[in-house]
Amino acid sequence: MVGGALVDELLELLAESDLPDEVGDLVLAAVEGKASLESLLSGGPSGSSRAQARAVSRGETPSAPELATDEPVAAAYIEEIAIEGFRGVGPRARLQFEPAPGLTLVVGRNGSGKSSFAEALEMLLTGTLLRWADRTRVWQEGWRNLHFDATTEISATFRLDGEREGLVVSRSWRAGEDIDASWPPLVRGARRDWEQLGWGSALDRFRPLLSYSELSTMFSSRAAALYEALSAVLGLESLDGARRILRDARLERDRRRRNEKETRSALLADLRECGDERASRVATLLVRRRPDIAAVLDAAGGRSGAHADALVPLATLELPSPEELVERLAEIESLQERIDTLSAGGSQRLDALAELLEAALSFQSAHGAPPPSDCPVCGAPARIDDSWQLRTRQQLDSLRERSRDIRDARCQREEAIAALHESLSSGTAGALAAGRSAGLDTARASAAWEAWRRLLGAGHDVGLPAEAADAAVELLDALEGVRDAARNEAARRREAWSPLQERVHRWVGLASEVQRDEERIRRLRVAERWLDGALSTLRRARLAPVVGEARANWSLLRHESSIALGEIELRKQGMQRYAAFDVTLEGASASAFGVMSQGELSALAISVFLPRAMLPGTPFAFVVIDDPVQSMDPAKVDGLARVLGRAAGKRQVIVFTHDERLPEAVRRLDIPSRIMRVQRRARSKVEIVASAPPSERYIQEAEAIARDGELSADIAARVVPGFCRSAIEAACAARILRRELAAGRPYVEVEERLGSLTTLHTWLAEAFGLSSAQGQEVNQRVRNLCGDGAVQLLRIVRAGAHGPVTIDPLELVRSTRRLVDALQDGRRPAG
Amino acid sequence: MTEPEGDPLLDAAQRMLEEPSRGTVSAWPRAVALLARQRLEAALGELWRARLPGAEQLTMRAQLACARSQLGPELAGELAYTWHALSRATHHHHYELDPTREELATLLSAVRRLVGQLRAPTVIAAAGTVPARTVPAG
Repeated sequence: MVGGALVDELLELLAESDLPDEVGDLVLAAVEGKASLESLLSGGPSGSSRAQARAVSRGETPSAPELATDEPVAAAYIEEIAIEGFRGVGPRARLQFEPAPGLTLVVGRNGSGKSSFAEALEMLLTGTLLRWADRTRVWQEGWRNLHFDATTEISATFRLDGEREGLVVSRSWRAGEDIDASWPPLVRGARRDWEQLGWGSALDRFRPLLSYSELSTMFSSRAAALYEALSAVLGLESLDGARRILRDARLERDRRRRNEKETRSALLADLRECGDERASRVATLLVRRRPDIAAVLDAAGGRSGAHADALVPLATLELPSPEELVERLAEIESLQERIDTLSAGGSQRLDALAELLEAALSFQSAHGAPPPSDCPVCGAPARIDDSWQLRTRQQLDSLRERSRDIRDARCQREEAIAALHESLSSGTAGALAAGRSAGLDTARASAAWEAWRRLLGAGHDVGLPAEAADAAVELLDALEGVRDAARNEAARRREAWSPLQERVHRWVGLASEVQRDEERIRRLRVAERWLDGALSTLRRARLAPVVGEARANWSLLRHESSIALGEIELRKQGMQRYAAFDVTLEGASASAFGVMSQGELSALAISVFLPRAMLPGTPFAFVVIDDPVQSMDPAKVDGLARVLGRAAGKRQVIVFTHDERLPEAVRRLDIPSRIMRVQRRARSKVEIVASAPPSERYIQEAEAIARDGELSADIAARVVPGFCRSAIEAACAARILRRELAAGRPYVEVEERLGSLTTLHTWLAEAFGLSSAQGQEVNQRVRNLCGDGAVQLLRIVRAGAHGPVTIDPLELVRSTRRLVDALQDGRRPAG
Repeated sequence: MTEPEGDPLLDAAQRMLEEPSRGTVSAWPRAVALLARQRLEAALGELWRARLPGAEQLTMRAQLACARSQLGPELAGELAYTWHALSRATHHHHYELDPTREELATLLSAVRRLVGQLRAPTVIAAAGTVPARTVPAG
């Protein structure tokens, strides 16, 4: 995966879409990484994302980790696998390959050690064996070879395209060490270590090691597993990651929004309970769906806000002290006494008397006869004289004085009462009203106040009624009480408000951010959705070659199966991801998965996972398949041979197989290949021999035996004819297969027929298309083909299978070769 | 058929099974099977010559059929089984691979045992008649 190329594709898709620039920038920022996206969202430079992305794609800037261009790793071929003391192999054995594209078959019976090589490669590169995945520990115990007790070692030599020095990867275990020791593998050559090589994740994604067990379960595991297996290899992780980053950013902000709502409702509840005026005002503002944040800030005010508070009038109410009150009351009392004293006999009578006297005096001066005169009122003789005038004036003066005193005292008393009232009433009414509105209990004080006012009103100019003193005291007490209550409440509110104020300020911060987020969330959602779509498009495009190859492979492999393979798609439905295979049975629309046999499923698996292992981006130029024939129908072996042959055109394809079917098909179909045989001898000594076509091989073996100086002549004479016979039988088999399969006979039938041929005679008869009864015909045909000598050969070879012959073995071999060549029409099958 | 050479054949086969020489490095499975089968056929031939002269000229199929009546089902059964297994190993097959070392070792020890049993006095008993038709050995 090359970051630059991916960015290019993305930019192209962006250009084609009608996505607004800001949203496109979000996508690109997310591709760069979480930090870039956050920076852009919090108001970082916009538009730079696009330019930066272009710079990345041109290779001008070192890209963010998520976009990292992988250091291109040269593709690796396998040159050799060497094992010592591992599984079925005791003494050191080596499998060698041509480190280039091409097909290699490694043939061996189960238990011959061939699987040990495949397993060694798997153990070497992945650290474990897939077949151990679901098994208990006991299965894993047998990893060391039983005949071997020195250091176990597995190693593989790779050749990297374009590099001269080979790469040797190895693991070794001393006696007693656990299988998990010796990890990671030791890497020699190529100046890299295992981590730098980075094969770990590539193995996971591309899976160049395919095993039977894996293939047969490909379609029975979780639907998501198949999806992952196919998508992991498409190199779109960085975009998947970007999508996740967008989603996370959106969810984060969604969470913040929900958090703000919750915070707000909690705050609201507490504010309402607080009762402080500021709290109430803020509460009113917060109730709105989209609160005016500036107004809230304003209402919350500063820390030490001077504020109009209903409690203040009451809390700051000035009241006289009780002593003062008592003093004033006493003063009024004494004034009252004085007045009473002065106006003994009734002040009204005194005033009237003074008036009378004044009137008498003024009458006398105006109208009076010279003294002594008679009283004009009662007629008493000679009463009105100077002494009367003197006496009367004195009395009048005294009355007037007394009146004045009374008036003064009354004035003083009024003043004193007024002062008393003043002291009790300045601001009281308002304060009480305010206190009441602030929720205080002013009942007692209000009652006392009403009572006082009533008494006051009643006693105007008549002094205070007797109960007034008590009322005043009661009023003062009540007012003091309610004033204390107000003060306490104010303090309490202050105390309650402080933290609330803090919270309000914090909420303001949160809410501001959330309001700014609204637009961001919308954009993120659009970006996410677009990227989802883009990913689908890219996924489809990158999967297309795999799908194309898979369908081509399936058409080769399906043989006579009525299952057709259509499109393969990677789909998502909500949270579910799955790989949709359009497999249909005879054109029916329903999925045919349920009716496919195990063999067909394995064939489908190979069709798909072979091209997958060969996608560009893999560091492996090889594909190793362990026993694909095991799970497939024998009839499909020709198809398999062709599929492998196609793949081998581009990659090094190594196939382990447990019987001769695949090699036979490969040879018959003239598919270029190298074939090796693995055999196990005593004490786990494993032999590896290059394999030629059977007839050639038997002849070579016969020749080798004939020339072997160590074998006695008798033994050689007994054994060589048997090989010669087998060589002729093999030549017949090749001839029969070619003819019958070309004529369209079903593979399985031909195989069955071949299995029924037991003697040289029946083989030859079948090869010539004769019935075995026509013994003479057979000999005649042989004679026609190769002369009399050939017929002689047949006789000798038959006899020789049961006992030694006298003919020179080498001569026998030469004659056999001539007949074999003739039977093959001079054509030697590939191999 | 030549005279049996006794254990030299089996010993040679055993050697081949254990230690490959240059010539037999990949050919040993088939070679071992060939020698073992020859030894078995020789032992059977020896038996016929002592007990049912002429039977050794018959096809192996016929010989094995005779063995059933002459030797009893158990011995004849093992004889047939071993011979067929060895035969399969000596013929060419379309796709089957050579027998493994273990399989050959088992067959070899079976041959040894059978050879010993065929020599045992109780087996060599009254003579019988030779069937009329002979067919060339295949």
